[in-house]
Parts: sequence; structure tokens; C-alpha cells
Amino acid sequence: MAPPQPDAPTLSIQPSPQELRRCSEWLTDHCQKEAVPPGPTGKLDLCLNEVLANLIDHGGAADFTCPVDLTLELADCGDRGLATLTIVDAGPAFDPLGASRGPLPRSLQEAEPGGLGLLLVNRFMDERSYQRAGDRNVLKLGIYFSKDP
Amino acid sequence: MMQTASIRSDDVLETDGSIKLRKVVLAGRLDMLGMEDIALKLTSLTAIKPLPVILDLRDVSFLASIGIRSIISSARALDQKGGRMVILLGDNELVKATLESTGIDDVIPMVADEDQAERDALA
Repeated sequence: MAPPQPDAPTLSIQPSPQELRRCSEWLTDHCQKEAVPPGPTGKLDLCLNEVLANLIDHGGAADFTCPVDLTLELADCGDRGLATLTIVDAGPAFDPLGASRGPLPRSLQEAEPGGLGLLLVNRFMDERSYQRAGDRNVLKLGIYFSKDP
Repeated sequence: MMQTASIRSDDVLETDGSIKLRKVVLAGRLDMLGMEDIALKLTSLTAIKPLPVILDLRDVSFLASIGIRSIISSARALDQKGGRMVILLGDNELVKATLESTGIDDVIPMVADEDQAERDALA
């Protein structure tokens, strides 16, 4: 796993509903500074929210003794940029990218309200990877964006 | 400071005073904190009576899965009572993409235009 860029913005949080908003502010502020367009920023923000909400709801975040660490990295890919968010937590091993979900609903009565957050992560993110590194879950989510104004 | 969530409703009445159409307008950030503020009111406005309901999401800046779950539950309860929900999106591209990615557009009608939303809700 490549180390993060030395000047990449980072944030450490203790997952809670209140902290989700602080994470969003941190992410959107840095994306705005780096001229990431609102569309990709909104999708990255949504996916960060879903991953952290999943940790709060199902990952035992209330028992975490270590914070969740976030790092945002920007890469130049020719005519596009790539915004990559790394989310590191010390919870039980869990690969959110491998979580399966049934087919999309065909009727309102069979619409299954669960599992939508991780479905959004898989649909919205162009680059996704998960690794268990020691006692940490390391999730990387990336989205490409146009550099044209 | 991030915009919080809000909800308001506006009923269109028949000449006899009964409710012809209910418009429920959500705005702001529908994340965990936002849904804590409005989920109960959303249910009480949309899932109790068999009404045509327009759920207006044009001013929603952020729709997390917790908000989608609440919308599905309300639409399903409304459907079971004989009502009908239509989602009004305007040009809200992020919310549109979010709902389409989860397949909700296949089970709850979504339109961009307010007049179309009224026609579809009353159909």
C-alpha cells in the first residue's frame, strides 16, 4: 500500500452522527480548494457518509478506542483529475465492497430498504479497494473529475 | 455551518374541504441527524391517509440512504392504504443520480416538472 502524499489533508474522528457533518465539511472544503467540481464532490461526500454510517450502525464504532482516519489525495490523470479518499478504522475486519445485495426492486412492495448505502458506494465510485492491514480496515474510494471549468 | 433538514406541507383542497392533493416539501441535508429531525413528521404526513402525495425533493442538498429508507417506507405504507406518491426533483442532479442508482426510480415515479407531478399524482 503506497503511503499517502505528504501534504494530503487528513482528519481523525470518532464516528458519530455529529462527526459525519464535520467530515462532510472537511471534505467539501478541501475539494472546493482543489477545484473538484460539485458533482463528484457530492458523490464522494455521500459515499464517505455511507461508509461511516455503516461503521456507526453495524461496525461497533461506539466501542472504537482508535479514531477513524481520513485522507484525501488528488492526482493528475491527464485531462482528468482523481480524488481519492482513504478511510482507515480499527474495527473488526469488514470489506464493504464485498457486501452482496439482491437485485434492484421491481415493485414498491419488494423494495428492500437495507443495503442501499454500500450499493451507492459501488455505483458512484470509479476506483474502490479494500485491504486489511494489520488490525486496520483500509478502504480507498476514488472518483474521476473533469479539469475543464 | 451545514444546512439542516426541514419539512413542510401544503394541502390542495376540494370544494367540499377534503384534501385533493398533499405536497410535502423536504429541504436541506437528509443524513442521520437530518432524518432524526424529520422522519416522524414525514411518516405522519405521507403514510397515514390514502392521499395523492407529491414529495418535493428539489431543495434537498444531500440524500443519504437513511433518507431513502424513510421515503421507501412511507411510499410503501401509502401504497398499501391506496394512496400514491410522486417524487418531484426539478434539476436536482445529485439526488436524481442517488435515487436512480438504488433503483427507486423504478418503483416510485420521479418527475422534474411540478405540473407533471400533479398530473401523475392525481392520475
